[in-house]
Amino acid sequence: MNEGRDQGARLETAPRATAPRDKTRGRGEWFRIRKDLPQERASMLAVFSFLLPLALWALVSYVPFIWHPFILIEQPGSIDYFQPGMLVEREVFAAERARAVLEGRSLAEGRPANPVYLPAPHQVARALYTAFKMPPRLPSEPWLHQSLGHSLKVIFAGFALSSLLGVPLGILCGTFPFFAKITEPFLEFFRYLPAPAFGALAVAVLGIYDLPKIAIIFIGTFFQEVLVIANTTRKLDPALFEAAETLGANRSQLLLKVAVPGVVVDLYTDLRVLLGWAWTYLIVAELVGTTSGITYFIHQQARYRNYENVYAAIILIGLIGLSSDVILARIGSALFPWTPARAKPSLVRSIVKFLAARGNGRATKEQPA
Amino acid sequence: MMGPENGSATVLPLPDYRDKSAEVAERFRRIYERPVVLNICDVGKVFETDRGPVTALDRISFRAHRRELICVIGASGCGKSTLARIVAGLDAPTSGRVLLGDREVRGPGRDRGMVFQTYTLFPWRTVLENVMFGLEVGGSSRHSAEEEAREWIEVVGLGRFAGAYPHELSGGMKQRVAIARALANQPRVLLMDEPFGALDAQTRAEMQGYLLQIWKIVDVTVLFVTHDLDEAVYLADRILVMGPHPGHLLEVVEVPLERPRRPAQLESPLFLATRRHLEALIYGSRVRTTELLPRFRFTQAGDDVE
Repeated sequence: MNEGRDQGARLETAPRATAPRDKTRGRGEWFRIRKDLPQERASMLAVFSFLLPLALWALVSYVPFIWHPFILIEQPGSIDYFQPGMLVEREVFAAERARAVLEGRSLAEGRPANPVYLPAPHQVARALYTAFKMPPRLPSEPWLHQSLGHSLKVIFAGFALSSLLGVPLGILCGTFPFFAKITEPFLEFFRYLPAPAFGALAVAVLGIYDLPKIAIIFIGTFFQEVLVIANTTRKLDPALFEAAETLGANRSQLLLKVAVPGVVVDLYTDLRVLLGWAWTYLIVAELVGTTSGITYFIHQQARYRNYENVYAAIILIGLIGLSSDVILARIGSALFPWTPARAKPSLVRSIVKFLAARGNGRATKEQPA
Repeated sequence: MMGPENGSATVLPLPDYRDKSAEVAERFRRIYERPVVLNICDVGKVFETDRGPVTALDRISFRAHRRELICVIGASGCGKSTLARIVAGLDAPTSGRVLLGDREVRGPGRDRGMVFQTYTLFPWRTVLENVMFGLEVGGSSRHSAEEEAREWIEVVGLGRFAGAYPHELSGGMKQRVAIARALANQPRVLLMDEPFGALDAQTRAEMQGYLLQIWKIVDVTVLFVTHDLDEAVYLADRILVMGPHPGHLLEVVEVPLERPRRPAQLESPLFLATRRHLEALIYGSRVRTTELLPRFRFTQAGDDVE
């Protein structure tokens, strides 16, 4: 009767193949092939995956002798076409300066600067904060949150529509070869047609507002979705269908009580991946007809040369994508209690854990003092 | 450790496997008086492959009586699993027919439960919900299905695990749930296709014990496919011995051992005689001979292992 406990004990010890620590110390422990890193190190690396690009960006932005091809004029001095706040190429500035020295005029002053399209991290961070509070330049333009809301509405409509049709059709194709044979060859053909190619057509048929955009997201995801879900369904162990048949299940019961619940976990993962695709098509879709949503915001800000706002908007898209994925993963593990505990903890969870561990470490270190 | 006198079987001649005690002979007489539950008549199966038709089964005929425990045994490729699948209705015979009572088998049905070698519990259902599956699809109300399922889980001794999911169970426990799930439909025939094949030796022996206990209290005829000779002799009333290419019936062996079976019988002369007979039937003179490999030497002299 203690089979279960034995099994549990074995599961506990088996995957943790971290032999005696001392022996594997050093380089080997960081660079072992296909062996899980200790939790602490994995979390640390996850934090670094964000810190490294940020550090690179900071390096280019804040260290004056790295890149900085321009000089930001602070004092025009005697050069009449210089103005405070103006960006001048290094060579031009040097030449003007040399001439001024020769002629004994007052010198212009400035400091090295990067092009306007590469704002420094702190500028973008500030923009992330102020972008929501900054009123649009024209009263007819939307606020950032309105742009974002509009984008979310379009992506949700497009993705919901494609899933509403794609999920059932995919499961049918994966279960009954009849449906697979009668739809999949055409879908295989259609999925190679790039969704943006239908932009003009969509506008002609559906007008210039949200409908053609929803149509483009639909075209971009639906065909992939059916094929991906059909393949996922086909991966379901056929012995489960046979077992159900010997238990007396009829055809509709096989579909509803075996295929659907059997595939739902993988299907959920598929949908999370496909949602990423939908985001990609969103940016294209928003250019169709009247530009709208977050794309409109990005274009306007670029036109006003507020590049920190452009970056802020792009980062926002990334944050929304990542956090929605994390939330969906959370919901998933609550929805499907029968899946074994995930071997791989989520990125965000490991970052939070890492930071918490650092915090605790500091706290305990401080205690004796 | 092994002395020369108990190392060879020639010292004590084994009895003939047909030498049944009067008790066992009487038992078989009573079995044959019971009604025939499963009638396999001239069943043949031909698979169409890329290299032409392959005969998997060649005119198999056999009758199983009510509450008999039949083992099907044979070398790999003799079609024993195909036979079980045909009885289950998962495959159709190309010739002949299978009768259950007096009705012909035309597909899978609730009257024939099946336990597969691979674990086929539904991962998204708890132990209880797995056992309820057959009752649910058969139209029982949720309440009565649950009540019955609980009883069957108790029968296989897993009452404490009713709420567990399959991934939390060991291989042996999974197969016990699979047995409970099949029996919950109260089938007339329980088909078992190498159900303990993936288990370790210790667990397999336990499972054989469980199966015999369950079979004793349930009105079901068991058709048990295995390639393990000991398992077949230990469990069966009769053994269908099959040969390969094409799969055909070599002999139907009546196991001369008394019931209830006990592990001690595994070493009795009658057991060994029966086992040896099966071995000779299936493997012929090929028993325990390994082709001699060409002689090379990759090691130093003086460290011989044999």
